[in-house]
Amino acid sequence: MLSSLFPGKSHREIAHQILNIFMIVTSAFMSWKALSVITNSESPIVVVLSESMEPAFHRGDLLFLTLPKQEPFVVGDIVVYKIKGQDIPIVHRVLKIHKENGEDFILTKGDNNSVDDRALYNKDQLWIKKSDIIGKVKGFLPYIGYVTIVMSDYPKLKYAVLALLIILMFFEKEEN
Amino acid sequence: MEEKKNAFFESVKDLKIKKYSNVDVQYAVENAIGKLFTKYYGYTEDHKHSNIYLALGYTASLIAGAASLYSYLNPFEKCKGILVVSVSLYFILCGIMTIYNKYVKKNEIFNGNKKDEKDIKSVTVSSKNEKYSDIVEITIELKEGTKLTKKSLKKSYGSWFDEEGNFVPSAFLKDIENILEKKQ
Repeated sequence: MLSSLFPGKSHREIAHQILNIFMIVTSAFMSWKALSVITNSESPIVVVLSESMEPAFHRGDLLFLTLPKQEPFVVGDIVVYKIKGQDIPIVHRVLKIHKENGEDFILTKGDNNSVDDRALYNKDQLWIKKSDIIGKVKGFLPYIGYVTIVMSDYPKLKYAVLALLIILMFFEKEEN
Repeated sequence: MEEKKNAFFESVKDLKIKKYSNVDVQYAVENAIGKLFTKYYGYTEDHKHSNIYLALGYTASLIAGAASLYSYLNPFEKCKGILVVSVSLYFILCGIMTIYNKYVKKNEIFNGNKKDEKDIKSVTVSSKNEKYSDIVEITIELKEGTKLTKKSLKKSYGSWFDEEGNFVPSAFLKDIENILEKKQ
């Protein structure tokens, strides 16, 4: 079965070819995880999805995050956080902080929004905590992230790019 | 000898390159040398470099796979320790693989040995081809007991392939036989 995908190659050669594919995939993945560990953020690079932080950030901007362990949060910091039970990361600014029993309680608001984020938090939730925060924004690149937005808005495009790559792969094989 | 020659010719009959593709040529030369020394000269191939590369590579891939599974199932805070360990192990293994390929394997394309009367003969063949150059340098190191001999051949690969890129085993065999027989 495998031999048909790799015509005329010995088992050892097939093992080498499969390993080459594995090395490409795993090195990309492990580099991402290494960046995650170094920045202490579960997702060190995120794309801005909404207009709620204009004029500072626009849809499609790429943000670089870190979460230094000992650095305290300060009013004015721009943070990326997730609401418990929801997957979408939100990029907003810290509006208020207060400490209770050694823990930080944080209220956030988008620069371009007229109300604070309590409307977004879960029912009866008035604050977010450090554990909800993925990271502080330390740098950004404009427009670069737009590709991922287009890909998720038009999933057909994702499949088209994938299909194109597979077709190119086959053409390269046939010439051999 | 004649049937060994035919065995070698038969084993490389589908060997073909895309003309001017040096990557193809390197792969074809490696393939041809392997078949030549096993089928014609009767050596048993020693896969040591390949085995080490596969062992290290698949171990690294396994570690990466396990790390990805663990980080998928557990929240980030819990994963941090395991991630540090697995990422470090992964890159250390990759580093070892790179160092091994560069300083131990170098340009070797074939390692083999055979028992000749009471001595063990071993052979190491290396191949070098500069970028954009059609000259291939093949170095053959023979070890018989304690005797070490080194022969090398520097030639354009155009002499081993025909107009369509098909490998011409008779021309290749002749060149290798010539330098092996040459007394230095």
